[in-house]
Amino acid sequence: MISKKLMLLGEIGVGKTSLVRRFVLNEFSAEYRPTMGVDIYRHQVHGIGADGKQSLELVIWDIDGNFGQSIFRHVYSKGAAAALIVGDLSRFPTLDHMANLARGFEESLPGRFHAYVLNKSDMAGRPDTVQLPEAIASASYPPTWTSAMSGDNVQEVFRAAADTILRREI
Amino acid sequence: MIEEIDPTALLATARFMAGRGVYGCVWADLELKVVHRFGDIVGFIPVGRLITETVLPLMGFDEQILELQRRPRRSVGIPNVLLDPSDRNGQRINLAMYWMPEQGLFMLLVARAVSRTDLEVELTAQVRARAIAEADVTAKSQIIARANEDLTRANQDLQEFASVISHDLRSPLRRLRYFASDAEAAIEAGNLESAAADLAHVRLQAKRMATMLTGLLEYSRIGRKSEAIEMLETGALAQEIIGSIERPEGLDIGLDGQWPTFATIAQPLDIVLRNLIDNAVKHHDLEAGRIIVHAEDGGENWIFSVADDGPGIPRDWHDAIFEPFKRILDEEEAPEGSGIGLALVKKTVEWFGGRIEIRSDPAARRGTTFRVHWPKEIKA
Repeated sequence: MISKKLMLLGEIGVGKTSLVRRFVLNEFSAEYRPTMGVDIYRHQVHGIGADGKQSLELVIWDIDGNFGQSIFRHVYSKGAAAALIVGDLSRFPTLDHMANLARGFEESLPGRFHAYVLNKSDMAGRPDTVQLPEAIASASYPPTWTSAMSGDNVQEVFRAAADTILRREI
Repeated sequence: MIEEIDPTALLATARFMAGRGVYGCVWADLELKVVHRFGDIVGFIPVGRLITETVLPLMGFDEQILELQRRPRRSVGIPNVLLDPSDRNGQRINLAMYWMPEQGLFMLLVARAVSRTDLEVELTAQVRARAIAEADVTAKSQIIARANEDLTRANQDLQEFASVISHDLRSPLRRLRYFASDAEAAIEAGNLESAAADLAHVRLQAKRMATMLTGLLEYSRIGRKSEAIEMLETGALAQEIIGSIERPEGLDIGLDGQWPTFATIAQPLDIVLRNLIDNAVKHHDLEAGRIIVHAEDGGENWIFSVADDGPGIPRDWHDAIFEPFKRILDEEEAPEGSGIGLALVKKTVEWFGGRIEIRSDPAARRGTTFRVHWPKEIKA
């Protein structure tokens, strides 16, 4: 089975670890434990691709949010096929930083796929009442609202990333 | 130094450390296939398989590793990796890949990362949680500051409203009352023709008040709506406005200058140009005349101007005409309108960081030119 590297990027405390643990281990803890370095998860995704019958192993790099923009100069970001850029809907400044991370990712790994993930949707208002930064609201790939706590859209956002990697043959 | 140590003791020490998971080594050939391994910590890496496939952090690093043959002093290092995050007590490792020219092999050194105590982890968690909380407080303070600014502005608007309503709306209201009384008296006297004329005045004054109130509401809403910045062809916008404004046959409106296409907010600029052109048309006092709508580069701003050959505006009135419901002509002589057009223009231009100036001196010559300095970059 093909394996591809997927990076989780975002400010500290936006819920990157919670998202990947919900996806891979189907568990959630409200206790904040910082990721110091990188935690590497692997998870197989089946029933994707153009014919809906293909599989892919995602090797997910859950990276310390403390890196900020310097992550793109770090060895951790080498060889990534895609990135999920995560923000916290309950902390708007984290959403502003998402566009910068997306720009950094595009510049350091051109042609690779990235998508915006708006996490902690359980703590936000209705989508039509939340004013998102322009770069996110007008992104060609629409942002996905997720909740690692309830599990809403978590499977979907990782599956969509795996599917896009396969379809685009990244 | 190494040569001086008894090799047996050295090997025993190496075995001791490797057996306790302090470090381990894996050797790979030129195809990156694992050929040997040493130490419990690398027990999970199978011999005979590609090292870049079986050691997850090295996935995608093939080129960098092969490149080491040409740069033997370098290494490919990946620090502080947790390979089994499902195990809460999992051990972090450091990985470093080297080229060993004497052996013609690559060597991966896997070493236990400096262990962080529970206290260190807890401390980092607290420091970061505090940073998150502080960022939260800053963001919320900014929201409160913005809310306060809005509140101050709302209070100013309220005062302005109260002042305008008490002074400027009183006049049509008074007229309305007079005409209603006259109509009543005419009906009592049986003079229905006169009563009908008075009631027509009542309707006219009511319509006028409705127009004034609509204008006043529009004026109070400037800046309240969030406007989207978009690429705007200003020449096309001006053409569209000119085409939509009713005017006498003899009044010609022309477009000239350098009309830019730039990122700005469309609707407020539409309001500004539309009101200025409409104002020039409504206040023109001759059957034939010419209005020129012009655009030019003014450095930091684009300058949009509307020039007419109408009667002009006396210098004494150059400030007052930008106040709501201020008119040079008597109410009876003034053209129909909300009386708020120029006030709306000024407030809109200034809200978005620009300014407006007027050039007119009827004592010297006919005509008025309004020049709007519209910022090339609108700050969000």
